[in-house]
Amino acid sequence: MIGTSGFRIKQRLVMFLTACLLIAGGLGHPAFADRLSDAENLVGKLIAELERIEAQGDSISEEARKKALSGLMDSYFDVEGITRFSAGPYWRAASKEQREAYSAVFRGVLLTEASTRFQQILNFSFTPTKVEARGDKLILVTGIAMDNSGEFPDTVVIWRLSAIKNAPIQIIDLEIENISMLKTQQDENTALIKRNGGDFDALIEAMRTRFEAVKASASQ
Amino acid sequence: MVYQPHALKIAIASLLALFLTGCSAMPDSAEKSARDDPFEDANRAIFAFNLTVDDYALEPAARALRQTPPGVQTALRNHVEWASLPKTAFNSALQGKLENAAIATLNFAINGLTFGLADLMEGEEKPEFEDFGQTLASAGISEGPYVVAPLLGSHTGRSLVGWGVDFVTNPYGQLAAGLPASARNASIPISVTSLRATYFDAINDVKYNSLDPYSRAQSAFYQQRDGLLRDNLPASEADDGFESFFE
Repeated sequence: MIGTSGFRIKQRLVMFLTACLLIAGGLGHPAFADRLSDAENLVGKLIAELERIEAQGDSISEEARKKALSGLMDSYFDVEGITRFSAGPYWRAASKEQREAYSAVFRGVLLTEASTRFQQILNFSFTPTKVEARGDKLILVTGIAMDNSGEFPDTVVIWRLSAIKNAPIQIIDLEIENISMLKTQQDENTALIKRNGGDFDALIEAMRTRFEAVKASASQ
Repeated sequence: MVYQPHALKIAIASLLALFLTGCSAMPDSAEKSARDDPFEDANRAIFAFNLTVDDYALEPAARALRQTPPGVQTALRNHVEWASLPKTAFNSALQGKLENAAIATLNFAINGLTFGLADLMEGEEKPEFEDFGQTLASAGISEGPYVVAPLLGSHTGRSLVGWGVDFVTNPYGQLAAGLPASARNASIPISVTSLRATYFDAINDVKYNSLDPYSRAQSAFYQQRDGLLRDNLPASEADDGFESFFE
């Protein structure tokens, strides 16, 4: 279980320090500061939601658990943006049908992956250490993940959130020790398309095959 | 709070790229978007060889190590991290990062009392990992092509040269010369197995759950190297390639 109270105390400290930095830096615009704290709160809320689902243990079916995770994915993550970005520059060239097919299969992969990643996240306590804006659309919530079992050394984790004006703040990426999950997925996908002579369908097919294999192994 | 990444984790990240998957300045944005991989076919063949080595040697050895008491695994991890400290101290000094060099030296001296098996400096400031590849980058040497070396895994031309220099110059080798031959010979396999065991699931994830393990490992390697070099870049350039997300 994650130390939620520890998270809250650190969270308040980080919010206070962030506010001081903003004021000192002449960036003390209230709306801007709100966006930063909203982003941090969103990460905290996601972790709390994950804890809640995890706490239900075997009392909920696997199907209900997946449904809950799927709901979290839609509420907290910019699934559409993640899907688009994961295909790299080939997304623009893809037809409407290809985009729809890719979106459908990618969503399945994303949910399967997320289920595993969420489980891993729950093995760690996340303590935010820094919240910063990159331009006017991107916010980074950086923190330290501490392994509750003590098996792994502390790890730097960065949550990337989109913060487009007049749109809800949503998570787009999780970076662990400099390795971004979304960037890695994009690199892998674009490399696969490139090796197949720019054929977007090759990616859809490879992803579909992989998804079916993962589903089959999960059902065994 | 400024977080100093452990050398061990950096080494582990390298290892991740290493078994699943070089000279210049730090990477510019063009390099980031189109990595230089002119030897891709050869690299893929060597990558496959490394995977085979992992299948038959490293993964089983790491699986066995994970069955040992946690204290044994922690001691081995501590030793691997400790053994890399002279390299960090040396390269920090070359890059003018004298404080980091001093911290690395202090950690090496204190933990040397247990031959690095125990972390007597736990909770104290840890040095930031530095290697000769980073020293070359800070000197403006260009990155070079992507290279997968047999058993050594992912490198750029620059980081591979750096690895060689680090291997030759690391005074740990001189210290270990006083050990029995069996201990010296066991040192590298034990270190590698320890790293493989620590990131067992992450490496297996790349091996077994990727559409293309080669490109995934390559991507992870470059991101990890970029992270190491980020402290040499101005903040505006040290961005993360997410600009296109909003296009």
